[in-house]
Amino acid sequence: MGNAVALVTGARQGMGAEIARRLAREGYAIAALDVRSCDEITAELEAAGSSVAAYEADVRSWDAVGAAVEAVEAGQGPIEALASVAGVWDPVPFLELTPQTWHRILDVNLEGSFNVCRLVAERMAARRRGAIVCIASNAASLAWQGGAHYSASKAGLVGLVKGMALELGPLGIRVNAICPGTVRTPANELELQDPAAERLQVDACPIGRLGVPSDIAEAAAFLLDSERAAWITGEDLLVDGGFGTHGEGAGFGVDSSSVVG
Amino acid sequence: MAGRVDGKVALVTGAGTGIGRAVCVRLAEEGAEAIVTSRTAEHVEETAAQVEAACGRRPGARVLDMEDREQIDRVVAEVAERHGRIDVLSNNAGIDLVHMPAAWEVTDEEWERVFRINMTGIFQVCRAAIPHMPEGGSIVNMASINSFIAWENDAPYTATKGALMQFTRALALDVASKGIRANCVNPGVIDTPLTDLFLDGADDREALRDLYAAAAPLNRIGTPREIANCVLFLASDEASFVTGTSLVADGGTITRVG
Repeated sequence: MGNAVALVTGARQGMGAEIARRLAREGYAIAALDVRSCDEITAELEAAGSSVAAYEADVRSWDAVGAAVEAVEAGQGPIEALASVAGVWDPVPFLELTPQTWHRILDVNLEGSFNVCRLVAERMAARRRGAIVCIASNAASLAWQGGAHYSASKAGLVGLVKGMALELGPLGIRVNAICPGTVRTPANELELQDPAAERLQVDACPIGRLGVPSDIAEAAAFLLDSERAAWITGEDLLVDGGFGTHGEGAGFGVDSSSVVG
Repeated sequence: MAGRVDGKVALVTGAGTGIGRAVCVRLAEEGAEAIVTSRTAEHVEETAAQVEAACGRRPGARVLDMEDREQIDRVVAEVAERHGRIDVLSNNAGIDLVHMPAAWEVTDEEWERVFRINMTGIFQVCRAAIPHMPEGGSIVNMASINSFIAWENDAPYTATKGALMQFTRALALDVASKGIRANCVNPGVIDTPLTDLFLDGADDREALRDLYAAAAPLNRIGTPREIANCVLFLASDEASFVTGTSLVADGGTITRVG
């Protein structure tokens, strides 16, 4: 095949699918991984002339991720870029959180990212080459109603990214996080159908619109680019339309039915 | 192939050396109409020649002293008049006190000069430029990892870089309604004439260089071009949802505690 391989998790839809599209345009062969079928996005990329293969795996499972990574490298070649996108948003008021709802978020967003990064980084380290980007959230540093567990998972992810950057830098691997603000994706489609909820979000955004997946995909393409971002590692890049610049938009009074991460 | 900032008019301050010079070259390579400014005429000429060598077009070139408020207003107005607008404003002018006084040894004159150039001058350039910036415009201010961390005997510089980051965040909020974005880049130690001044002042130049390199998990000093690439990203429409952000480019230096 010849093309450098980019593994994208959560590639079925939303930001993951858009990052896969963007990296395919950069010339990467795409390994699209998701817990559900990636047929739609892989068919689209194939039709556009890109090299792509789909892998079904639950990022919560070390063994399943290990097998998928093995299959990617055996079938497509060495992974040079990893976009760890798989994540879930499921708001629950703090006093109603149970170990079960806690783990539903933490196991995917934090442990899942760990599994993927750890298993891919081991192979990148052996080759002294690679770049990783993890999709965190502005919730890593801001609180959203009903999002204590989500914030914990994303703050944990940013910590994980910085730790990886420190230890993997000397091995030639850069690791960065992107912290998106509210981005319109299938994951929050229903919540944003409420015009009042949508208005609240848009008004809190100085740029005057919500994010779209391509906003995040451009940042991911930049951070994974070994020339343009050669000196960037351990960074958590906020891509939020300015949401984080001011206090009043920080979600303190926002009803949990109207918030998204 | 279309450049990433094709046709954008980019006013670059502090463009006489180091990062600002690399920004001019990189933006011009990607299709921007760069305007080189620096307080030193020879440096303006050197950068302009490099831009021309890199992309075959002679850039705009002006002497601009960040300590001269009247000159700032005049030069920005003339650039806007001549080029029709300012799409990108890249502020790189900055100084440091190379003799490294402890905070209590800093004189009023030293303190005021560092603030004058690193903060007040940049504010005044932004103020002058914004009326000429169309929707889609982008301001990129050169802060530092010193916006987050401190080193010994560098208090005035550190204070200005902290201030510049917060100024940029506030600016982002104010210019958002005009469709203009504002961000800063926070470099670690970069191979520039300013870094050279510190190396020159060291008892053992190579030992200090090794120390700078070892501060970064990537185990080297960064290059001006690597920082220029960050400015390019923030200046381009690729970053159209990015505002009020600080982009740290430091080889991982500040991920480390101690």
